[in-house]
Amino acid sequence: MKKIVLIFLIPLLLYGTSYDSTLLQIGAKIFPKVALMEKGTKERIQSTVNFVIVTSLSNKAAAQRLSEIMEHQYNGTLADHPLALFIVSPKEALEIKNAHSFVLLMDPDDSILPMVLEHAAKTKTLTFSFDPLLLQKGAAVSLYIGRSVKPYINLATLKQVPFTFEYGFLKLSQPY
Amino acid sequence: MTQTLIGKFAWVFWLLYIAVIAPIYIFIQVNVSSVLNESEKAKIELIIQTLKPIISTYLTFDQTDMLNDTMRTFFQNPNIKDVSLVGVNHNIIFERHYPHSDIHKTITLTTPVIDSITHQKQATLLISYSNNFVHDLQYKLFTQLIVLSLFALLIFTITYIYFRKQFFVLRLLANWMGDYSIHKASEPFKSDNSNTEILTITSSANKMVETIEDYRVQMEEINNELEMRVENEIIQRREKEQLLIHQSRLAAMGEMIESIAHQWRQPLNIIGLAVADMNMKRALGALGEQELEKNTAIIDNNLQFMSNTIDDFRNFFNMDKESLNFAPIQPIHEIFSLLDEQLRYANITYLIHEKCDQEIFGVVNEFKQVILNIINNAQDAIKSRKNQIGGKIEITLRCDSAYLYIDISDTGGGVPIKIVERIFEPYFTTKLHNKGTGIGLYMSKVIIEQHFEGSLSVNNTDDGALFTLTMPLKH
Repeated sequence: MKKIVLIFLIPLLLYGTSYDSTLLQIGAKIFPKVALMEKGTKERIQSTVNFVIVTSLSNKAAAQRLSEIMEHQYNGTLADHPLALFIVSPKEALEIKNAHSFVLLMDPDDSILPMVLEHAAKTKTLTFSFDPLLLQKGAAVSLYIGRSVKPYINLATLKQVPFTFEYGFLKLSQPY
Repeated sequence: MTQTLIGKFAWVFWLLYIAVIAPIYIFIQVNVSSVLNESEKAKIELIIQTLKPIISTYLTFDQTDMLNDTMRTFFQNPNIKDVSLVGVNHNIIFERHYPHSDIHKTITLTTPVIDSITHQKQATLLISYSNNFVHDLQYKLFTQLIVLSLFALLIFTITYIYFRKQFFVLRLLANWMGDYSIHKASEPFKSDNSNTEILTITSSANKMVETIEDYRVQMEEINNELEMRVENEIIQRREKEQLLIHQSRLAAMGEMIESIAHQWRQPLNIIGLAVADMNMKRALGALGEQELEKNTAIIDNNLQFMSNTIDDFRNFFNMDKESLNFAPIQPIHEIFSLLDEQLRYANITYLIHEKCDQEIFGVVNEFKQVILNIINNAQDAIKSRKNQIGGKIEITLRCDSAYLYIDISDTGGGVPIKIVERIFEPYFTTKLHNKGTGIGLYMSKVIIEQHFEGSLSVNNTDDGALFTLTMPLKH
């Protein structure tokens, strides 16, 4: 029954850019794993895995919640590396150069979004989103959560940086 | 076990074949199965290690369809029979059995699927695979070995027949060489076999036979030449022997003249006295008929005696060579009859002991010559003894079942030891002033040994020499 409700509920939630607990839990579970499926990101990890949640003010609570879920999910350790979680504004994100992933909880129409994406591309930082529109704008990975979780990847972004994912992930993902 | 070269080759071939193939087969059976099992295990483990991250990813994203597709890829390996993926709660995520008709034995590999990020166990992967392929491989290997053996047998049989045919000419050659005889001419061995080795052997055999033939001809020539030389030598030796016999006879004749002189002395005296008596009585006119007849009778008797002596002498020296059976006592008496007067003159007595009257076979005159030689030697030896007047000669005839023995002993002092080995040598004599020729005893020995197939030996007794003639009895 819960799954049926989710099936109907989650697409609405995704398109409505509102982040409920289930959505955040799935994201919190999958995004770090996907990050480590990317060869460059994995290689760039020296000691700490820096996971940065870039959020607009309206989504700050969701960002906080996502951070907490991630902390709980991984207990501060990701693949034998300490996991550092940061919640920053888009403006602050532009200053960060040692991030391994950006989780974008932003409005697709936010004027600073292109700069954030450009900065992410420059620093070879993976960008995750829950919003297909953000994927359209240039985010690298988004999630479709239906009967099963289906990752969507922006091939243009992947080729531009470039990002190299494991075969299993690429086979699983849906290109955009 | 065959003794032919080809047969031995066959044995060696199969022994070598078995010696090579059997260890290889056993080695493969013993080692390859384990190696293949290990290899298969390593291969499957490699597949598992390859697919595990993908399975992990699909489990992470809960991608059942893709997970099933991935799990089915295990069956691309035909040896994998069962694949199952069991969740942490023992729930079956995936399970598939690949139906096979003849599975001997399966081996199950169990491996956990661990999330590489969280290191949490996501599921347990169970792969069961069979080792049928090893049995299949062993069966294939065995089948191929059988095929290989049959092929080897075929090749061997063809080779065997071929070489047997090729070597058959050697058997013909052996038969040809076995039939070869030096007593008959032989054609060269001919063969249409063109093998270099066979040609070399046949050529060598022909050359060998040619060489033997050459040697045979040479040997025949040498034999003929030798036969001629031997024949000539025999003729020469016979001539020499005849000459020696003749010389010996002449020597005996010379010695006999003295005997005749002794023999004739008394009758001549008697005849002379009878003639003188008649002359004197005729002169006195007293020669009557009775006196004339008496003296004539005396003269006739003595002339007859002298004539007999001459006859004996002539008989002794006639050239009669006829071999016949005769009793030796008669010729011995005749010899003593001739020598009687001479021996008496020399005060030599003689005794003849006839213990055997068997006959021997040979020429009587040659036997007489031998007896005469020995008695003359005995007479000379007795005469030559300074401290002895007269002497004695004894002749004993004895025999056994096969031989007749004539022992002639004298009291002449015997043969000196230092010359006893040489007295039968030709031209060896101890007589001085040309009284001896040195051929008497030599010829006696030759006559006894070669003409009578007997032997003549000498030993010394206390008083003199003892000559023993041993002759086979007549056949």
